[in-house]
Amino acid sequence: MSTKDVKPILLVEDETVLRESVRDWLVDVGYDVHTAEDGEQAMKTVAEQEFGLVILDLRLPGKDGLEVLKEAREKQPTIKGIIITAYPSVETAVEAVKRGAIDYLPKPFDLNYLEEVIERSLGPVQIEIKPTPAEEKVPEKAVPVQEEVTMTINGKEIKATKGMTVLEAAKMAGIDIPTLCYHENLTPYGGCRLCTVEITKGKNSRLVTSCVYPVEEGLEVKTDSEPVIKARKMILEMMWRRAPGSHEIKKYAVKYGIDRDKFEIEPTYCILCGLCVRYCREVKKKNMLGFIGRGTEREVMFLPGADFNECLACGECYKLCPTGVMPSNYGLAKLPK
Amino acid sequence: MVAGNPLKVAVKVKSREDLEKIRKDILEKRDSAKLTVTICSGTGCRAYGSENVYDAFNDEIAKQGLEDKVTMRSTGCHGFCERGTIVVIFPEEICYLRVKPEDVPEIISETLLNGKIIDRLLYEDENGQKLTHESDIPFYKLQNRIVFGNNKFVDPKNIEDYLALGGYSALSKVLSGMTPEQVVEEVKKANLRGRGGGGFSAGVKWETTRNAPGNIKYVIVNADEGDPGAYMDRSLLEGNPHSVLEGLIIGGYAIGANQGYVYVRQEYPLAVENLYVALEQAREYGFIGTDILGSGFDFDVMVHKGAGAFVSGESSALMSAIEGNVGEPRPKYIRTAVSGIWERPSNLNNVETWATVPLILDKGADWFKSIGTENSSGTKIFSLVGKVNNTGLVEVPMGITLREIIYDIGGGIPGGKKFKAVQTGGPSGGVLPESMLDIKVDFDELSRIGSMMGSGGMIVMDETTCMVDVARYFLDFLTDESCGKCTPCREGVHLMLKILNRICAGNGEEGDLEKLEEIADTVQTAALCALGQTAPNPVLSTLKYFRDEYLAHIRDKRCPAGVCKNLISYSIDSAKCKGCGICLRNCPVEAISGEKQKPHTINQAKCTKCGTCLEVCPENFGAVIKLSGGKPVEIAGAR
Repeated sequence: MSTKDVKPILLVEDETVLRESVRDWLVDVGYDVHTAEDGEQAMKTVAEQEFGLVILDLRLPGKDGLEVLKEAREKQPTIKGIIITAYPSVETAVEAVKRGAIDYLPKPFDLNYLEEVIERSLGPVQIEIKPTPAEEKVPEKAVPVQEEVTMTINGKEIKATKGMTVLEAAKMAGIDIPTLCYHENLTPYGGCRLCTVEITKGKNSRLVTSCVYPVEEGLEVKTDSEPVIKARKMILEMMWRRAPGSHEIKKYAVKYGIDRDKFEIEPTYCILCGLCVRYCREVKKKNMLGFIGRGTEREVMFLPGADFNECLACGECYKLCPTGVMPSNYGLAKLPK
Repeated sequence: MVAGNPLKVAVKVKSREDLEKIRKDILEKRDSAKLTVTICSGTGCRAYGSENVYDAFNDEIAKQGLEDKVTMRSTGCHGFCERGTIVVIFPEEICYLRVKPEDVPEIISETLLNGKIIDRLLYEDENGQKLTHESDIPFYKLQNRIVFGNNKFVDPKNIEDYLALGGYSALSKVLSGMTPEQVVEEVKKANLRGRGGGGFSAGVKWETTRNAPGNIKYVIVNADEGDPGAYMDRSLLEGNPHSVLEGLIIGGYAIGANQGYVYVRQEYPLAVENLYVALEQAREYGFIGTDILGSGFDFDVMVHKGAGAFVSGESSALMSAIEGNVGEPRPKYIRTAVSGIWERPSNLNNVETWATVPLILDKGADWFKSIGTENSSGTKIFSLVGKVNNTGLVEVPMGITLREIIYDIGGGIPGGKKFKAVQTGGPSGGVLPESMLDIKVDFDELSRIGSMMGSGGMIVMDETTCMVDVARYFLDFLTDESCGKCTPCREGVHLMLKILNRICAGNGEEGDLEKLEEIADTVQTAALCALGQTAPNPVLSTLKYFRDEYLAHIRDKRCPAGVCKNLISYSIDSAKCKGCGICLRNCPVEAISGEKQKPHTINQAKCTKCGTCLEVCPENFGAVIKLSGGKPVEIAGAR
């Protein structure tokens, strides 16, 4: 990990869960992060070392976040501040700006966004790309008899092995299909529907999700036909209103030129891709997470009896989260204390 | 509830001959000339208090010492739910409607003891003529109740009643002389199409499951009926559970499955209760178990009680639930017939389909094909509800017109109002206008005109129904019932509902309809399961046939049916108001003011638009007017 050229960050938050998860996230993306539980501890740390940025919870035991920011800036005038709070109000937001805060984030916030703000103020860090544990242990697929099928993707004839999905075949052929809920080590879920493609068999064409549709002889696949693009665009527009600003979705939003104002923004930050749930169940064999509720009430929750300390120690699902909501306080605030 | 005749000695039936002998014994012991009082105890009649009627008969018969002369039978649903509690007295088949416990002494003293008919309890047709027999009543007369009709002869808790009617003879015929392939062939030849939704050929599905690789296979009854207003599968399972079980056992034999499941809604307590009793009795008689009827075929049935979720009726979700997982659809493109429960070949049919199977095997595919249309054989049970005179369950041959069902059987629209639309196929179906009333009802015709057969829900709407509100109602239902797994259904249905809510609230905008259609298109093409893919249908079909009504809401801020509260107002015509004060006294929010003998006025700020003033204003004054979009709402015959 390289943290050269970038000043460290001080995170002042009394809630252990949130403090540690935000720290882990920022450390993972390459920052040098120090933590403090309250203003007193924070001021001691500020006296010892130079910081580029301090992230403060508004409500802290003893002095509040705004007070601490003021004092920290008196000691180190170049330090920048970000206030986070579960109790946002116009008054405190104005006060925060007066005291030199560069941003004011109501909880729950999107960690991707926090990262963006930090990057703007401190400059980018060079990240050393570490393979995630999931990528390290790719199970070897035992395919005793490899039956070959010939099919076309976007008019190009390709060969695939029976038992593969269209998505796998496309990847092998170097054809890109966008995905969000897909992970090569997890059971295909078919939930986000972004990998939708058009298949033609005989005279009939229809849309299917490539992450689950099996290859077959003579199948014609179009990954970017008009109906595909139309559906994909609208699916992204539906996701945008739930997780605006998320890196992964923004990437596709730009690529497909979606109308970001098509639907009223109602953020839930989670797009219910289920990567964390499936990773915990299938790779970690832990079942700490699950879905509750139906329809738009659906949420990812810690299941009763989930060992929270174990989650903190592991945190591997954080890296899979396409919106960054999982490691933010949105998910963890719901942990039993 | 008092169960029917309790089983005295259970006899294990070991062969076809055994079964016929037992049947003969049952029939001999029964005197067909003996007075039998059947009391409908289906869920509908129970809501009217049929249990009290049953108890009243029981008490009175005991009091008068008539036990030897009169047999009592508590049966499943007769179908004419509008007129419950239904009592039919055999052998004459005298049909009494809307019977109350206080009518019972009179029925016993007049009808049972003296053979006199009580006119007051009979059906009266539109010419004022009293009809004594159930089969003469137009509601029944025009139906063809091959599947549902036996309900009235059967106490669901007494297997002897089912046996007396020839029950389990189809099973014994199959096990004693047909190969599984022949059974599949017969069902294929009969062209039995699944009565639960898409209308896929049951025989072809059976064959697929039969031919799918694997030694362990399953057959499943889908009793997760959940369409609003639909209750035919529930009533069939409650009223004649053995007919469903017999079909299932035959299916198991044909497909090569030794294990059956019944996935039944926990919210159907009577169906669950009767099913358990039926299973126990079928086991005692040896119709379920090992070496059934001496054939060497083993079969067992397990009951899975599902916590009600509309989506669990979807095959992959239902199977996921049986496995013990959450009832959510799986994104598999391999059919459940090949890879279902625990990835083993699994054949799923709904209650009505299974109950039809014994009839086909008993009477033959040709007989079955002689009923209905070329591509849709047999009959279909519909639950006819909504704004129609005779609500209830009707079984009609395929190919009958909607007009015949609604007007001839259903008795038309109450209160002299005009027909507006009929919704078929439940939330996934569509709404059809008057111009479609003469189409022949079968699987293909209904799909062709933008609706579907579904499981047979039929909701009739009159001119006081707002079609935008109807679409909104169904989408509200589907928003609650969407499992939330895939983006298009979870978000798309919710977004469509938001637009509809806005239109109903009078905040519709130009472009809303196009937006609705655009979202609908993505949900239809990209959703994971059939629930999601068909979820936009209520919107699309109302838009197709009632687009003007949507436009009236958006452009003129007018709800032509006078339903959407934000778009209506009530006003008092000062020229007509005599100042009688009735409306003033009845207004629940004191929004009406005015002196006696002088015209009254409504304070619009206070008015909650409940419509009480309109209802209570004396007919000869007719001073209260309902307005929408600046124009009076005109409903024929309605006040």
